[in-house]
Amino acid sequence: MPNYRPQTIHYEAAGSRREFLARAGGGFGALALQQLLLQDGAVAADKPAGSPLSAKVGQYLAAAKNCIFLFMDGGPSHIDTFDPKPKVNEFAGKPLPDSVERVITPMGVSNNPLLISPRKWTRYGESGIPVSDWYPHVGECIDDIAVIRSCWANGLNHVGSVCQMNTGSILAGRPSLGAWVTYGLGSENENLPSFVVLLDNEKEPPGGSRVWGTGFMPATYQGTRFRNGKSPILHLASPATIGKQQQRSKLDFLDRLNRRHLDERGADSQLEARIASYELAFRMQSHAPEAVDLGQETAETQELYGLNDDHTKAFGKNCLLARRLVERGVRFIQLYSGSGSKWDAHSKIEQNHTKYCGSTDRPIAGLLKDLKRRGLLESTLVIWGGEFGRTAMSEKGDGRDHNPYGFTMWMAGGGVQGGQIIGATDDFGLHAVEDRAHVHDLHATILELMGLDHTELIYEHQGRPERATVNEGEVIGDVFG
Amino acid sequence: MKLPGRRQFHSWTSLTRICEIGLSLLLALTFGSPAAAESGPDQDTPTAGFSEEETSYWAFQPVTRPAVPQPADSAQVHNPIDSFILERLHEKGIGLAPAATRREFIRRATFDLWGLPPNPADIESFVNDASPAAHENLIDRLLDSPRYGERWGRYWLDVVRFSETAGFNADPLRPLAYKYRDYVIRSFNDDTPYDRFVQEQLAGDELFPADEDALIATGFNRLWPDESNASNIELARQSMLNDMTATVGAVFLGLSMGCAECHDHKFDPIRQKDFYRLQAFFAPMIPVESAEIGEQESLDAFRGQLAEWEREIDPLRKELWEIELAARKQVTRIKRKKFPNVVLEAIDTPPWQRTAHQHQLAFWSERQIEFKEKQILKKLDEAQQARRTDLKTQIATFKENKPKPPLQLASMVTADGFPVPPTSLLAGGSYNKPIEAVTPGYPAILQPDCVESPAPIDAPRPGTSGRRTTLAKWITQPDNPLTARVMVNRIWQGHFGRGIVANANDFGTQTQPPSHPQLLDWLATEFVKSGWSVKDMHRLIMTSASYRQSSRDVAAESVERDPQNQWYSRFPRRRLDAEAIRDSLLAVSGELNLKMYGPGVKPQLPPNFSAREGWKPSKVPAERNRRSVYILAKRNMPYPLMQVFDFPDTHESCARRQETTIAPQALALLNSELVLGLAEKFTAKLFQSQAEFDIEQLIRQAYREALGRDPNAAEVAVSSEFIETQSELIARRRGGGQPSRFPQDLPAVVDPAWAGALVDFCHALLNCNEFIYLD
Repeated sequence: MPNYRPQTIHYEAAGSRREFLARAGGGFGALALQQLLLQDGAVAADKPAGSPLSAKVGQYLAAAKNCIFLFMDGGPSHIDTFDPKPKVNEFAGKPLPDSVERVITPMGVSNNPLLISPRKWTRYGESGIPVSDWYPHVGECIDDIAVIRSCWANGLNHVGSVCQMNTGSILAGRPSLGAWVTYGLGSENENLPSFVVLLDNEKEPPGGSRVWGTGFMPATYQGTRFRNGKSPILHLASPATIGKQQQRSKLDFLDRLNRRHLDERGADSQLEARIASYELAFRMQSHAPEAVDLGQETAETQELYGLNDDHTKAFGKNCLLARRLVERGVRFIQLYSGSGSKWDAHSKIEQNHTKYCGSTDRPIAGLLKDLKRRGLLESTLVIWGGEFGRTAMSEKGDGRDHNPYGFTMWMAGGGVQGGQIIGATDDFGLHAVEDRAHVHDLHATILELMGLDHTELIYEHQGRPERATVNEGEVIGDVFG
Repeated sequence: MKLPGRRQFHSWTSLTRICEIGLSLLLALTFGSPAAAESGPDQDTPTAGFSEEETSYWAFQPVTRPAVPQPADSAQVHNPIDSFILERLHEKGIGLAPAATRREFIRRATFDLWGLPPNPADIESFVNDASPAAHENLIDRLLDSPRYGERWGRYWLDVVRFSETAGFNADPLRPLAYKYRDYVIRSFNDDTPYDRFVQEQLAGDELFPADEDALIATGFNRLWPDESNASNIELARQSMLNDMTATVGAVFLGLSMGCAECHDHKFDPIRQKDFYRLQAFFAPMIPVESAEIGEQESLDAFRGQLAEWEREIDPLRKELWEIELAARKQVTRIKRKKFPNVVLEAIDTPPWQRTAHQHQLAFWSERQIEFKEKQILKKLDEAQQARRTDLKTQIATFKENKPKPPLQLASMVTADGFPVPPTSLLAGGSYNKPIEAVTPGYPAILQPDCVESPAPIDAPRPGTSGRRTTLAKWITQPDNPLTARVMVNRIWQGHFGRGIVANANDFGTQTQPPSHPQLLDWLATEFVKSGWSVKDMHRLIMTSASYRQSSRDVAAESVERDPQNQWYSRFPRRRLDAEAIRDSLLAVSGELNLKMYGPGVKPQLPPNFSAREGWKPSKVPAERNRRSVYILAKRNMPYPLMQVFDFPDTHESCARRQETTIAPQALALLNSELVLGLAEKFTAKLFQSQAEFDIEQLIRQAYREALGRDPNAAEVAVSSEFIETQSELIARRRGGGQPSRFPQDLPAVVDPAWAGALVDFCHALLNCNEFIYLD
């Protein structure tokens, strides 16, 4: 007799109404399904209205409700910003001492002479953590920041590394962290996407939109790239040839067609959900433009984010927009600086980083200060970093190659104990040597800060219980306050 | 899973925690099943290390032909499928729903086999067909059309993660990849027997050297994502092999082999070693962009002549290579620095002397150190330049006599190289941590007595390793317990929206057991018996009463006793998938271009969609209206209108499409210029068919075209009321000098505001649930 008994049941065909609703809910365009669930008896009537996925929340009482991830696309040099290395200047013009383990780098700089770092370092705040003269305004906020100097990753090139920093794997196909958070926590605002991506120029980061995609998860959880202008979401606005009343009237007619169709067929949650999706689409048309209207902000606030300066305007606008989205319940906001690998200083790092640190320094400091004074920093996790750091070894005489073996990320707000340094790289900033923090560890920590246990946040796929941390990763305990 | 040198699960304890599986499983895995433990250890004697629970698992048992049940009420039985379905329904005290109406049936069948709506004339002729074989004739007509392969080929393309670009950062075009897509469409249309279809894709080069299509089919082995500027070449090669192994396991065997890349499978009896033994079949594979095609004899003759010819020019090309090599090394000095010696040795070896492994390393590295002819010349002294010119002239003379193969075909294909590179079991899946060498073999659990033994490799002809052939033959043996089951399940899923086994890519323990195991086996035996004919399976399924059921006319007790329709007490209502939605929009508006085959086409993108991708719409506008299966399949940018309706990510095999309902879908159909433009075309088409411009006739015709039926009186009334209201609103806007839209070349007698209102009416029909959902 063949054995038909499953050892465990992880995968159920989506057939039930409840399951369908859960699948439709939680992410961008998620429907107001509480009502439907109530009808379904799936939710107790006295339970407060919320996302159908809220049941999954509550593994931890989390400080962070929202997350703003500042992604320096192309790889910022940690040894020139947050991880001073006097030995690099001592050995400038000479190769690494033999005692340092050699690594593969994309441009093969392993034995190249080291490039001097002409940065001036200042110790800021009560913690006295050094920050270079490329980030003076961020330096002023250092007591809110935990600097993790011992990050490491597996990718060598941009696309794999950006992919890993977002999805955990250097190979494409897995959901991004924002998608996992949306999956785990649902949305607090049904009229806006719960995962928003903002770019500072028209170029997308390596890998394109799949960097904020859902891989094997339903599209419900995907990030939505906000575009410039009044209509931030694709197809949000009706074309100019359609009047507002005309559109409303068309929607009403459509609704009549759909309700008649539904009546003839009896209860069908799919059909009901699709009817609701049109109403939601209509509501978004008014909510999203309001959210992106920076004209509602005072001149003082605009200046705080650097909107008055051409160098800082683009990223500053996105930082300010991020704060507005946090206020409106958007869960996960990812901001790309130098989108399209513009931080990638293989040559002329002096010019490159002067420009890109300069364009982000005031906006980031403005964001941290503004969140703080509004009481939002406690509930908003802010993360800074890139897909990797850069080598002490020189490339082309004035640049630095990729370094995934040791680099810096920092976190602030949202339950993070600021004013501390975690981990260390070696004397040359090449290898993370103390309290090494792999990307999976960073992801585990971010999820934990948001109240999600990375070992329990599971999505069943192809017979495999999938986790954001690819079944690895440990929470970096020191981050927590 | 994919990362070298990292921990796996924290521990068994946390593993059970994450999987939400109880202690009982832990015990079962550790000590055998509790039941077995109770009855004493003797009965739990493992077979070659596998527990009885593992060896007796249903999917690994031979397929046997179950007896067809005899349901008490046989009035509903059309064919044996119904007997199996009714057996379960009768257990619940219910039966099948009544038959769908003919109108419903032709819409269902046409979407099912073509992914397109039936046209009004075909609907009427079927509805009025007095022949007792009307349904059968319809199904035959639909199966005979090339539209069928475009629909069912697409399902296969999902499963094999077909794409026309390589992915990663540059996402470069694979200009020949479309030939594989066309091959798949042709194969479905030709009803190529499935066993042959599998053999062609895995080993067409080895098995069918004279068959052009069989060579194109080996493009299957080339569909993996590929990083064009990979720094770590050994890792890139290993990633390709891992991808192939996991894909082959899921596609043909329905096994989650990928879970055994870094460790033994956590749930199924697949060992890590099995993963690498399966991988070994692909070890000698070299990616090439052209194939020689011909009968064995003429190919042998050609290869003999070629070897002879090569021997003659050998000293010349060797000297030329050496002269250029030093210069090339200088010119590419900086680019070479990123590669370790083993890679540099490979690219410095003349191509005709490279081993298979060197060919592979060169594939990933050589393209990264390209250089220009001019640069080489600069590095040569006068004497060398002169000698080089001389050598080239001499070789050119020889080239005139270079033997030609019977046929040379440009396509993305595979060949085997020699000597075959070794395959090793890798510690934690790390490419640089080999533990022990392995030889090609099938998963031990599927071998006689579950004893791991090497596969008997038999090279079908000289110049082949025979490895992929051996694998293909084993997969397509009629007694392979998985192959036929997996494929009939995919076909069933295509018709009913879900498989008898819920996860078509994983027949392992993490998937619910089959809802109708005997039906699955009966279909599998029928499939093999019919000579692996996919079209016969369609005929069988579609002529069953189970398929012909109504989705609407459902008894109350069926809803009550089969609330999830898990026992098929009615036909499941389904949303159209991305292709069917776009193709229907084009078809109904009269814009669909049915041209077949060729490189992927590029329809318009939404405005300012992506500056990065350099997606220039196809020059000829009609090309933009080709069927969706011909849209350029770009890994980093799936076509937006398709993506929003759950077009799958093309990085890994997709067993079944997601079916989400989200607001961006509504926004796309409501506000995109593309869909509005089609509503305009639809309106223009109506005007052409109804020269009287009679509103009621226009409404009726619109319903027939879009929804395949006539509206009732109430619907006509509501529609014409809407058109009137809308017409006033638009007229007011126009009066205020605001723009409105209406079809071009509007007849002079037609009021633009009224025409605009009709566009809105048509647009609403294209948005409505009846258009998007299939009864």
